[in-house]
Amino acid sequence: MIEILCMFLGIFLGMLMGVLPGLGATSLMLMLFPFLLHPSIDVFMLMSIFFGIVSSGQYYGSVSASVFGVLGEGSSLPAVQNGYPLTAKGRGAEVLVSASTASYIAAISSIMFTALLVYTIPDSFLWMMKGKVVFILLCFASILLIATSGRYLLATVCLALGIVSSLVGYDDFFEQRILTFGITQLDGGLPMFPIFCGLLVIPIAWENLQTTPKDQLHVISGSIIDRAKLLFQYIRKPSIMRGTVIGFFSGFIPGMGYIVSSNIAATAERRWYSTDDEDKTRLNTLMSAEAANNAGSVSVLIPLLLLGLPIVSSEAIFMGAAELKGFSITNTYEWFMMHWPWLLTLLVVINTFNWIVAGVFFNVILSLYQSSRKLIYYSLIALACSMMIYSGWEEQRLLLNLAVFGFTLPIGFYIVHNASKFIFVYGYFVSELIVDEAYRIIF
Amino acid sequence: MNKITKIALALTMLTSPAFADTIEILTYYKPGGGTDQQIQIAKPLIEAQGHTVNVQYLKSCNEAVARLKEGSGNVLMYHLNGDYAPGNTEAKCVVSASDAGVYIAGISAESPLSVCAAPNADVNRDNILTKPLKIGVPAGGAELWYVNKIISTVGASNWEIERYRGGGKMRKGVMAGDVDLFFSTNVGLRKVKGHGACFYSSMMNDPMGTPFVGGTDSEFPTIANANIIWSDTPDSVAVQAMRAALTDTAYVEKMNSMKMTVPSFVDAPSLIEMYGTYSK
Repeated sequence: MIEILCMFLGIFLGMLMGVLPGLGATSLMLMLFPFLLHPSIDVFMLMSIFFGIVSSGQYYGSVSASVFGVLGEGSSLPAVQNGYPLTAKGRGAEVLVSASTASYIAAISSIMFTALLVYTIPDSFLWMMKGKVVFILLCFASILLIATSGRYLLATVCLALGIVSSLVGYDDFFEQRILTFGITQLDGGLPMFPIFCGLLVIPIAWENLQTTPKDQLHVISGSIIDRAKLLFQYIRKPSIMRGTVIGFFSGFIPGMGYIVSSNIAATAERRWYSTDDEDKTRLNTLMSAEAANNAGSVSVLIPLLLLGLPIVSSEAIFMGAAELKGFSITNTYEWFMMHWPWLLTLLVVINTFNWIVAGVFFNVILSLYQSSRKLIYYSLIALACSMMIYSGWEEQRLLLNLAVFGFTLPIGFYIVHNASKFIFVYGYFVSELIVDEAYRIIF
Repeated sequence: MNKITKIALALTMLTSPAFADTIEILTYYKPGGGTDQQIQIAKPLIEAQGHTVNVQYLKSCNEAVARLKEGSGNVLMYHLNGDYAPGNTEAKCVVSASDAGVYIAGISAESPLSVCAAPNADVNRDNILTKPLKIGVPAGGAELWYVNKIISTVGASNWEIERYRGGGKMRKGVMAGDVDLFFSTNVGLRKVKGHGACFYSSMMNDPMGTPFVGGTDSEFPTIANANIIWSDTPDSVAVQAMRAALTDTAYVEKMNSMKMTVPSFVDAPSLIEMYGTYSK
């Protein structure tokens, strides 16, 4: 029962994340981190929240992109490029209904592929758990992240800083204190939440407060019956199938995940399958990208839960919280093998709910965005600050938290390149995996 | 009831160990881990005595020690014996049984550590001392010291040590086939599905039946993975409640079912002193 409530909480947060540009799964997970660490939140609840967030975000992320032309995360770029021009021509309903239906078909297909894969050949994934394989995959992921960031030097520095920041404190592996400078409170490591608040959460929220949506509210309709008909019509649509296949396999590649897959699917669709009718091409491209997005958001869970290998930053944060709840990367394999029917059912429920709700509440969500956007961002900033103060007080290191926040906030505002800052987060969470294996390889 | 009777009754209740108190348990290990598992087994048994238990998960051992020393009664701290290195100011945890404000409340449970074969590893009694083998060892505690002790005792110069950041990450390496042997507690062993035979145990009378590496040599150093429970006050309500929980049949049976033993309070000081001699 409590898992169902957590699932709905995740779905609600995912909706919020989807319609609020800049608030991606990574930022949201960082904001929620102190709450997720609470002892009363167990692994099942944590997963219900996380999957709710990630799946819903895929459905609603295209709403603000297609309707207002506002780019949220990188995965929304095809929606801005292809959905927004169609919305401007008065085809908003078709755009959003097509996008959500393509997303639903792709997610369900991906869940079925995943079930088939896990049921038939689970042990064939074990080799991927080898330290050297994980190390190579993580290095590959890091290189890909840097290469796609557009700011190679900054991204590399951020990755290195992320790795080093995570090592601060008494290190069990090296059996010595690293960069604690004699401060006992640093034995337990740098306070993570103030770092991420200062570096990412607040600067991003602030940045989005300054932007103005391009357009006024469109009234969009899409009845459930029409959409059900569309579902059967689209189920054999080649664009959606292509996007699904691209997204599904992209989910296995570290650093790629569903964010890059939507852009690859869109590029492939436009390059090789464009038609003379530009609007039709735009719609197909959008559906392919949305399909890739959602298929990838499911398949990305296989390396995470089967091998303990986070593919994207939000997963790395999830894994960080799950590990603190005793969900070690050792028992992920066994856990996954034992609970995958529950997990896949959860994903089916979340996606079905989102597909239904995405159609019914488009207008509600859009009017909420239009009328209360600033209020929501201000509330998020206030919430993040309150949580930081609370966690500092709870851990009895409030002063340290405030000092770290005060140090990172100007840096967060100074570095406007968010992709590099997300690479910092990625580095922070995969630091031990990289450093430990590098040590074993070298020595 | 006259005033004097009321005051006398109130004073009796306040000084009685059975009076409900709030007991704070400090740990620097993560929720859901091995140490927390032991806390969670003891917690309801303490609560059943009418007390409120507040478990605090702190970021580091030294923060927990500082909190313990500042405690004004009823504070307990769980401390893994592998982190106990009295006199070593560079150690993870700077604490000693002789420190002011630090008292022994008991030992929650002891588990032997064993050298066992990884799943599908081609290791047996005939080739364990001849074939080149990799042994996974969790770094940070006393395990590295003891594995080296085992290597020198049995003459296993063919073993190459692979250190891991804790038992969880080591077990991942074990499952992936990165190592042939691994050094684990009995609880950790249960988490490695399909593991092979266990060849050497760090304790005599290992509940798993694994032979002691020291054979019948009573002088040979034994080692256990154990949690020391420190208190901020000797014989406080918290100490008495914890001791009642540790001797509760339900607690002892639970630990035994997990192939661990619960040492008596009488033995605790000498055992803790022995833990302190493990070289890091």
